[in-house]
Amino acid sequence: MSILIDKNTRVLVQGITGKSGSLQTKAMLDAGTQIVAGVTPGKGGQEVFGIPVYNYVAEAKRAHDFEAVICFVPPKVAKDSCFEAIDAGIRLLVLTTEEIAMHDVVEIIAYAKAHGTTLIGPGCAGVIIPGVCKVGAHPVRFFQKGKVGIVSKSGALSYEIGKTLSDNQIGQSGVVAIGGGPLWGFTQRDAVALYEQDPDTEVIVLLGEIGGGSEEATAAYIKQNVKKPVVSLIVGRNAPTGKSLGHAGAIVSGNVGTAATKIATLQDAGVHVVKNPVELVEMIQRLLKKEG
Amino acid sequence: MRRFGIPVPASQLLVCADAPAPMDYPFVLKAQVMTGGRGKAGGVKVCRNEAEYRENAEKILHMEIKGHPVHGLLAEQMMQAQQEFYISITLQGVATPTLIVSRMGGMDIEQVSKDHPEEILKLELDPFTRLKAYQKKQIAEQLGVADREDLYALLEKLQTAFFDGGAMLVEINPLGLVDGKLVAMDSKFVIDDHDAAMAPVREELTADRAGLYRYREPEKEKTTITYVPLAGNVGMISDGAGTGMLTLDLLHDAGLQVASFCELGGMTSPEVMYRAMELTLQGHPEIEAVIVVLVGGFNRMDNMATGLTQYCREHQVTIPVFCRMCGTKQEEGIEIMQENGLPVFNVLTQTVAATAQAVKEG
Repeated sequence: MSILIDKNTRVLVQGITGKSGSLQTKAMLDAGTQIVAGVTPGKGGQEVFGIPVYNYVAEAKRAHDFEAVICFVPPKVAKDSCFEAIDAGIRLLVLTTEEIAMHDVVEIIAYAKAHGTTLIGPGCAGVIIPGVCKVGAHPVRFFQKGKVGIVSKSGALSYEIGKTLSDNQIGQSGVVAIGGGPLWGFTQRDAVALYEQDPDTEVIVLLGEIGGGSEEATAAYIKQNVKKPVVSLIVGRNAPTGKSLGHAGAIVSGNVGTAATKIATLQDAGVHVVKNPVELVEMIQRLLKKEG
Repeated sequence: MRRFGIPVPASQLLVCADAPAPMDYPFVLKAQVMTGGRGKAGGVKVCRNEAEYRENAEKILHMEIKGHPVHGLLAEQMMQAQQEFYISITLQGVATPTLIVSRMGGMDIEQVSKDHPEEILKLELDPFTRLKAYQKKQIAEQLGVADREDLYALLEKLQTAFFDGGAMLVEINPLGLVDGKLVAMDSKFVIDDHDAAMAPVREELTADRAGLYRYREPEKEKTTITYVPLAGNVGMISDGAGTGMLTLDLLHDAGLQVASFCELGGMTSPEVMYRAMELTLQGHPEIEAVIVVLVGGFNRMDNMATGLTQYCREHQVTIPVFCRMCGTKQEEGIEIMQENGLPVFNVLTQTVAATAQAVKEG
């Protein structure tokens, strides 16, 4: 058991012939992911690492069964590609594309929701179940199998913390990077809810950042619904007000979205808030000892 | 607003204080400035006669509001509203498009929502159906307007402006009831930079500003780099926003002052890394050390090492550069770094500690 994906998940790659699409397809195959088909309009009939390429998702659907799609297409065509993937009746869509127009994102999220497709992203690194497979960009070398479930907005931060934990012999049951926002299909709260139900997960790590109110919403959910220990690191404590540091969602305006509010709300929900990776490792070691 | 057919008062733009009165008195002079809160700062004044017009125009044109110079004046026909409402559709700080409406217009909506939450109606909009008939009815009841057809026509135009205009925010505050009809007496429009819909309008506005207001948009970085100048003596570069913010926190906690935040973005090339060093160091003699934090997923370490070492070689960089390098193609990247005599770290906290030691020892 694991969250979102497992060894039986069959995946189609949109934009498989592109630069990052093909690179990531290779990395996913190496990680043990079952990739059954790829799509790039106009490139039907080709092969990428032995994976057949089709012009349309529906065309691939006639020849293969798949539950998940990962999308590496450019921002201008992302909306249509997502509609096409969702129309194929998939369960999971991982949208890695960044800088999609906000109103396109609004429509993609609404369409996925109406059709019962879980949408991770946009602008996300996706999900890895260490030692099993991944539908995303996480470099396998940073992760090892274990009992800690991580959710992060930032991809790089999830690699950083995965690596830090692995360096300290703490394995992970799953690592999800949901994107820098400010709009998300799959939220931090959704990830925490899945980890709470996941028998492989003993400790949940919430990697948050300044800006918006999603950490606060997650804290409210944790307070009511989560029994497993949650450890949180909020980055951007020293960021200047009113400026975005690379993530559109990470912007503090007035008193909304400050690290101080987030930390206080999380602590009030019983979350163990740590200040740096060293404290994070110590806290998880202590909690795992207690749980084990 | 006018572009989308929303009724606004007659207005004219002025760029000097000695222009003849643009319309009959009374009218309102509004500072044209790239920030909010101009009313509170004295940037909005009523002119009832020539003397008031001259005095106000002179004063406002020479104002600075929150550090931003005033670039021009908008003269707007004064209107007497029987009632003032608030209405907006926003994507800022919400998970889905949200329409906010209140009978208490003309004031700060944040304050109204704190003091009189019952006076605020919030409705979530589906991008495919847009406003539904029952939602329009709810809005009419919340505002208590007599002429519902006039309101419904305005709602239609407002949501067209929002959805088709690629807006992050359209806000009318106050929305005045003047002789029984709704008029946008003041409004705000925030456009999404990534949306193609308003690109021509954006270009037009930029050209107008450059020509009329002596205002120039700051030059946009053409790469995927996010560069934010701060104040300090340590330059910071990262290949992820989250790790950049974490590094910034760790440097602060180590007692260092960070000069700049520089995030490379996505799948980057040697040229982008080179450019990041350029942005960080050129024209910044105050910088005593650079920390580069790389944890490549999409990003290849051989590319990063190539760009970084090339910059250091060509510019004979003598200040210490502390680089943490791991991830995709890390072996190749580390080799390039070592060939060029640049130290490489593996653990972030150790990289920060080494940077702190170097800066403190001077």
